[in-house]
Order: sequence, then C-alpha cells, then structure tokens
Amino acid sequence: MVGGEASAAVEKLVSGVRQAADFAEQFRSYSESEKQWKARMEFILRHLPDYRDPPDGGGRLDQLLSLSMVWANHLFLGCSYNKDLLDKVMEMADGIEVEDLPQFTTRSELMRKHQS
Amino acid sequence: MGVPAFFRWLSRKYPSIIVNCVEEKPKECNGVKIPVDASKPNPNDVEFDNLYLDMNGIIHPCTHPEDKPAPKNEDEMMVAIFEYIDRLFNIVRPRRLLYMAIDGVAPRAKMNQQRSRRFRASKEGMEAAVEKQRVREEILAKGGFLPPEEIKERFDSNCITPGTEFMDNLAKCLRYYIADRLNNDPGWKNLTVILSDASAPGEGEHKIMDYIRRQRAQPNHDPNTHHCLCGADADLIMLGLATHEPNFTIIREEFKPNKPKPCALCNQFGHEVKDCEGLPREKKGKHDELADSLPCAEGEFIFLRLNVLREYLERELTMASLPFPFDVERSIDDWVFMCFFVGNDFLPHLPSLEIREGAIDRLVNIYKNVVHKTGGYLTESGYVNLQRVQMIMLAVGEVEDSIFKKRKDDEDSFRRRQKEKRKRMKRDQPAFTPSGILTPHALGSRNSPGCQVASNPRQAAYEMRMQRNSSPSISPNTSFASDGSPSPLGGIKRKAEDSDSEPEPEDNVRLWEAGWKQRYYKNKFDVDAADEKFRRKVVQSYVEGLCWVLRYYYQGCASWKWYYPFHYAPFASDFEGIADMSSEFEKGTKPFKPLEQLMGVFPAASGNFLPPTWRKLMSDPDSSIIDFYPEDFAIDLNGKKYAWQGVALLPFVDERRLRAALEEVYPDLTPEENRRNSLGGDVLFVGKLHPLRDFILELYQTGSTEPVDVPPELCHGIQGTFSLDEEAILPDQTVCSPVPMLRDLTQNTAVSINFKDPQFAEDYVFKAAMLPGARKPATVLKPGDWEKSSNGRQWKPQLGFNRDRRPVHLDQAAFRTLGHVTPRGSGTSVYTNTALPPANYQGNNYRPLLRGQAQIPKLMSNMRPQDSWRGPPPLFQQHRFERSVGAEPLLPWNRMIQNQNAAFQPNQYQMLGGPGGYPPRRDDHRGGRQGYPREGRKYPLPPPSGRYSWN
Repeated sequence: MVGGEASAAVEKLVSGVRQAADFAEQFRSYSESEKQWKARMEFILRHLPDYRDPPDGGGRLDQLLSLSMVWANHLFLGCSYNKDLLDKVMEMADGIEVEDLPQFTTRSELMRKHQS
Repeated sequence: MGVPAFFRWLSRKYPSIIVNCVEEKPKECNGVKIPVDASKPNPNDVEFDNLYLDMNGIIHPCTHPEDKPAPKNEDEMMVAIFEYIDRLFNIVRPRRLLYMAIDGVAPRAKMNQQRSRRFRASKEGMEAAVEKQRVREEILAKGGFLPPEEIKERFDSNCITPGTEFMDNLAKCLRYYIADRLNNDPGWKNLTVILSDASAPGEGEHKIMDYIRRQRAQPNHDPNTHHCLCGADADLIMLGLATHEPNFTIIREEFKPNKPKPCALCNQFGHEVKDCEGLPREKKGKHDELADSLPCAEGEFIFLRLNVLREYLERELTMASLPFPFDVERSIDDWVFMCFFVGNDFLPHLPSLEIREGAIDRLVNIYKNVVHKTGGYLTESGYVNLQRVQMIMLAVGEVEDSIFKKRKDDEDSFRRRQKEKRKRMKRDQPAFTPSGILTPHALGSRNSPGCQVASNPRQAAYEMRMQRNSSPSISPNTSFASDGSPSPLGGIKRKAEDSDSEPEPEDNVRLWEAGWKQRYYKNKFDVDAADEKFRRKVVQSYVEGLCWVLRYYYQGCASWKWYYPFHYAPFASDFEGIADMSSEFEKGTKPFKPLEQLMGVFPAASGNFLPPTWRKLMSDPDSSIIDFYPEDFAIDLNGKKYAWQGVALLPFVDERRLRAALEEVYPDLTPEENRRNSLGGDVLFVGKLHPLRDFILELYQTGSTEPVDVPPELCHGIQGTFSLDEEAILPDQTVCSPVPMLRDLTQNTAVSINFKDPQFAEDYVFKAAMLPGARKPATVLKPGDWEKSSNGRQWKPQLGFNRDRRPVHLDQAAFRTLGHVTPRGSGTSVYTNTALPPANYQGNNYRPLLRGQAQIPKLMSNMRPQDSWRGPPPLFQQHRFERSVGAEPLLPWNRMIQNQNAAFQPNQYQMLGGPGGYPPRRDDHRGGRQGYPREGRKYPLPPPSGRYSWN
C-alpha cells in the first residue's frame, strides 16, 4: 500500500523539497486549509526520515501521520490528548511557525465555567 | 434533525395530523393479570396491516429511562423492552406483518454524528458518576442515610451500538420474545414477523424503508397496505412521505416537556442529585399503597397521520398557472428535500435557516415564487436537479443578510425582556403597590383592622389620584433607595450581578454586522475570505451531501463511504455555479464491519466494549490511529447556550489508516468476536397457523442449500428469498430463555428462516409515485369550498381515524349513577378528569361506591380529550352534531356528551370551572351568537333554534 510507495519515494525525496511536497500531498485531507496543510506538511517532512516504513510493513509512516494529526488537531481543532503525547508532538513541532492560531474552549473548560 | 423543534413546528402548523391513541390496558382480576387480546378489533377504529419498529427508539428509553429509576441489570432491561413492544403491539394490532429493525452499522456519513454523541455521552456519564459520588459522601458524612450502592456497573449507553455483546444478547432475547408471543399470544397467530438485528447493516429506519421500497417495486405488493411506523425521529415523517404510500401512520410517545426525573441517588422524585439530602421516603397513602403510582403516569402514545399531512401539503403547495403540469407527489418530494436544508443527521444546517424562525415556511414561499421560473420540480425520485436548486438557494441567499439582522434584534429584545423580568423577580416588593383601600391584604385576614371598606368610594378614589400626582417620583427605583443603600451604588452592583448570572455567549462571527461572511469563514474554517478555492470545496461537499441524503431517503445508500468532511455549512449565497457540479458517487462501496465501526465511533473511555488489542490502539501513544481519540475536545457553542447544543469539534476518521491499523489486530479476534463482527441478515418468523409455516418446514426437511423464492400468495404478497438458518427456531425444539426470570418454551410451534429482500439491478430507480390501484384515503380536512358546496350543512371535524365514529352515549340512568359517584361542588367538572388516562380509573385505587358502575370508566376512556395540549384547532369552524341512534329524548345532558365527543374536547382548558359540576359551553364560533354564560348555571339552556342541524 502506501508503505511501499512511500519508502521508494522517500529515497528520492532528498533530491528536492518540491518533490517532497508532491509526495506529501497524498496525505493531505480534503478539509484541510492551505495554512493548516502547510504546517502539517512541514511536520511530516521534517520527521519523515525517522519514520520510514520498514520493509516488512508495520506502519511507521502511519504513526508519523497520526502524530502530525495529533499536533494539528490540538492546534486547529482544540483537541487535547494525553500529556506525554502532547509534549512529544510539541517537541517534534518545535520551530514550526504557525501564525494566527484559532482559540478554542474545550468541553471541560465549558463545563467548569458553567458550574462556577 | 432538531427533533423536538421540527415535530413541534409540524404539529402546531398542521394540528389535524395528530390523533391520540386509544390504549386498552391489561386488567387485573384477583391478582391475576389478564393480558389484552390483540386479536379483537382495534379500539382506534382503524386496522393496520404492518407495524414497523425502529427499535433504537425503544431500546434507549427502556435501558436508561429519564423519567423513572433505571433498571437494575440487563435482564430487567430486556423485560422492559418486551413490555414496551407489547404495549405498542396492543395499540397498533398489526394484522399481517411486524418488522423490527435495530440499527446496524451506519453509512460513513452518519459516523461523525455518532462519534460526537458517543464522545459526549461518555463524558456526561462520567461527570454524573463523579457528582453522584461526591453528594453521596457528603450525605453520609453528615450522618444521612442512603440505600447501599447497588453492585451494578454504570450502564454505558454507548453499548447500544452494533457489534457489542449487549446488542448480540439483545438479538437473542428478541428471538426468544418473538417465539414466545407467536406461541402464546392470540394477536400474533396469523402474523409474519421479520427481525433485522444489529448485524444487518444500515440504520433501523432505513432498513425499514428499504424493505417497503423493495416490496412496493414488485408486482405482488398490495398498494393499499396500511403501514404504521413507530419511532420519535422527525426523519420518519420525511421517510414516510418519501414512500408515497397512501396509508402511512407514525406512532410515537407523546413528548411531555419537564417530566420529573428521579434522583439518581435515592430514586425519589422532586429533587436532583445535587440537592439530595438522603431523607427517608414519605409514605404514600395510609399504608404506602400508593407507592408505585409515580407522579407522572406512563407516557401516552400519539398517531401522526401522514395522509392528513399530505392533504395539508397539497393545499399549501398547490400552485395555479404553472408552466408545467402540477403533480402533488412531486411537490411533496420537493418539500421533503427543502426540509433537509433546515437540518438532518448528515449535514450541519445552513446558518441562515433555523426551524424556530420559520425557515421551512420561508423556503416554501421562495419555492413557490421561484418554481415558475425553474421550469420544473427540484427533485425526481430522489435525484436532484442542481440548476433549479441553485435558483432556490440564491433566492435564500438574497435575504440571508436580513435574516441575520432580524435574529440579532430578536435575541436582543428577548434578552432585554429577560433582564426586566429578572429585575422584577429580584425585587422583594412589586414595582407599584396600590395604597388606601386598594392595599392588598393576605387572604383570610378579613377581620384585621387594616382592611377597611371605603365609606365614600368617590372620595377615596380622588385621594388616591391626588396622591399619585403629588409624588410623581414613585418609580421602580424608590423601593431600591428605601432599603438603605444609596441607589447609584446599588445600580452598579446590580449591573455586575446581571452580567454574572447571564453570561452572553462570546460571538466572534457577529453575523448581523457587515463582513459577516469573512468572519464566518475565518472563525469556523480558519481560512481567509479571499480563499475562493476553499469555499468552493465546502460548497461542493455540501451539494454532494444534499444529493446523497435525498438519494438515501428515496433509493437507499448511494455510497457507504461518502461523508461531509467539515463541521459547518456554507451560506446559501455561496451556492453559485453548482449546476455543473457532479453528484455521482463511488459505486460498490461496502459498509464497515461492526467492530470496525465501534473503533470509529467510540472514545477511548468506551474501549471496554472492544477486544484488548483493539482497545490498545485507542490509548497507546505509539498507535498509528491515536489521533482519532482525543481525551478532551473543543465545543463551539455557535450561538447556543449549553454545551450539548454546541458543535463538538472532533477530528474525522481516516478510513485508510483505520483499516491498516486494524489489519494487524484482526488475528487476535476470538471465534465469538469474529461472529459478532460479521454482517448478518434478516430473519423471518411465523407461528403455527401461518400458511407459510408448512412451506418453510419443508425447506428444512429437504435441506435445500439454494435460496428459495418466497411464495407471495402465502403471506400477503411479500416477496423475497429464504435460506436456511443454522440457529433457527424450529417446532418441537425447546427455545431456551436468555433471561433467567422467564421460562423456556418447551412446546414451541414457531419456525424461523433467513429472509432476504427482493433484489434489483444496481441502476434500478425506485419510482417515487403512488402505485396504480392505490386508493386515496378519505379526506380529513375541511374542504376549502365547503361553504359553497355544502348547501348550508355544517362541517363536522374528524378527530379519530374514522369519520363515522359513533359518539359515546350514556343514557339517563347512567348519568344518574354518574351523578352519585362524582363529587359535586368542588368547582371542577367531571370531565376535567378525562384528562387523566383511563388507567387511573382502572387501577386498584378506584373503588366504586355503587355496584354496576364498572362500565363507566370504560365509557370514559373513549372520551379522552383529543389533543388537549394544543389548544383549539384553527380549522374547526362549526360543529354539526349527529343525532344518536334510537329515540331517547335529547336531554341537555345527552347533548353535552355529544358535544364532548364531536367538538369540545380540544378545548379542555375551557371546560374547567363551572360551579355546578358541569362544563361550561364553549362559545359558538359563528359570529354574533353568544354562547352560554360560563358560570352560575347548573344546566345549560336548550339551544336556540337553528343552532344545530340534525340530519
């Protein structure tokens, strides 16, 4: 599946950013805006070498995609995850600049506000 | 769809669609319960052929009821479900078919809604448990007493999802239930029963629709079948209309707002968990014999007659001088389509269309204006003509701006009124207290010195006038200053208080201010207004969504994969250039397997319903799908007040990644889990006397492996195919009871077999039209030209199913008896009692004072006020009373009763009062003539001549 294509593509990717972006394009989700995708693509491309799919399968790449989504969901959707996981993705995303982040109220905050 | 809102709107606008159910209750004789014999004629004056149960509407209230204590364990839940079905069965009494459909795996389009419901339910359940624990500890610490915590696990309502053990168990229980009733209940003896459990893919109501659609399309179908569908979803109304069957009725529990809920800690009524004090229960009645009579009686059922709705719609949608021939059926389809704009389970509704703001009326008006130009209908058999839809949408778009402005104005004035009200409530004294002789006094203190009778009224009035003039500053603020605090300070204080008690929801979008569109896209989609491409993408998805939903209702699921990938809808004015958008869907898509879908809709907290390695994928930080399971998520109130009304911003599931991750844990499934994970089909059951039984038994005897066609002549024209069921219920084989408190069926005569709906080619189009041979039911509404065509006869409104329903009649003797047993002089009439359901008369509490009066309650039971909750129906103009059979003298009493039946019941509230114990008459609607005085007359006067026309 994607794994095989990916590892083949990963070899080539070093040659140019342009190519890498094309490669990453397949992971873009339909509802992602330009801004959101740019940030997430940077996240993916930065860590791609560490998350190549091993030849025997095993979905390392999917794990990276998942982490990138954790990060993006946290930033652009207001989701919160397990603290260790969040710390991990924040560290991985260190240095990626995103302007003009949206603000959210999580459900727990809302409930607390309502109680007090 | 905003279910209560849509239903409320519909039943207010089209009141005659509602008919209250007449329910015969089981009687009790010497402690033995005598069940209702459903083989007797239906007390509702109508006979139904088929009853369809959308089971999820039954499972939820039976497993976690809101208005009574929760069942203790799963067995009690099952029994509650059985009893609920029995109740429905006894009301509807289907004569041919009972179809039970439990939700199976749903199309992907529904997954987002399911996800958000389950993520919320999980959170709410945990919060409730924490709160309960906290209050419990508090009470115990104060030395209070509470019943010991039962060793029951919190019932996680999330288990009502296909693929869980609970659902599997439920299917087993229902099979047992069906076999039991087929063996033992006379009402079931000729019935065909089909059970579509959670293993058969598709939502319950859509499985039912699919069945009806496919049966209609085959030649043996009886076009005059009377269908009755049970369920509370507003969707069912749309689905029922979409079938184009002339006889279609929906039955649902009557929605009663503000029903008291029992406290979850002590199971008593009257307070919530947080106010629980652990007080002992008060004895109800002298010997606690009333303990079980809950403050609210069992919910009543109502019928919703779609043929009457069709009459209304025909009237509303008929347009003169159309450039193309008018077809009611087509315009009803268009109406259904437009209702989707206002809300459905698969798409967020357009920001400008709110059902509470009359969005559907607005759409219908626009539709009627635009349809002249469109050159045809918007839809055909579930396919959308986008060019015409675009014209409607852009017409809505033109008024969008003013809708938002008006909404803001309405909200502001509402808030202002609320604020005024709160101010009034807060103040200890009313704003103005009359003084002098008008000074209010407490009741009963008649002899206190403060109470004077004005000796000179004129003088007193003059003094009061003068007093008011001399102190014009008596304004609301004075009372303020009088409590000692300087009023300016008080004013400021109040302001702060106000803003505390009523936090205005933060709104960055401000749809009423210029630039709203930019702000909306920025805030909701996080894109710039200039991003035309993105906006186009949203519109494209929404248009696909509209096409998908309509197809889903009229043809079945077009694609199991499609879904709307955003949390918000675009504006109506964005629907430009949609005419050339494609509305084709990927063919040959397959539904998820049950356990896969569980992975897609459950939060990690409900992971206990999944096998361990699957569960791990939901919480392991190294899982390749961990992003699907946030621990907390944002809620956008989106202009609403409460968290549950807001939009839950949950991430969408990436199907490819989900499947890839599951591939690795599939080998871990046990054989039992594999069975639960497989997709199943429908099962058909018949009893001893059914003509199909011998045919099916022969199939089992020959052991044929090939599917066999159902002989339609043996079961009222049902077509489909049979194939042998390995776990079949067979005659002379014991059916084991899955519920310990119910016994096994040792002498079974029922038989079951796998059933498959008739199949059609993939590109077959089910026609959305009346079938040839279908007879339209008699009209119910008053014809528009009645005055002209009736030759002066008066219109007699129809309240039940049967226009010629015989009015209840009591003879003189009965009334004398009635007069003896009912208390007098209490100020309420006997008829106000009719507001109570008949059950109250038949229960143990009722002790007749004289013999031979037992029949009175029964007679009364037919006199339930029809629709007393909705006030006088506007359509009833005049009343014509039928003369009763026989030649008894028409005493005022008799007439009263006939009135009660023919027309007075809608006005129940007007019947209150009347000191003589008799209901005052309602004013005659005909202009000029006065009704009788409301009070002070024991018997009404005989009618002036010409008031009634007897014929």
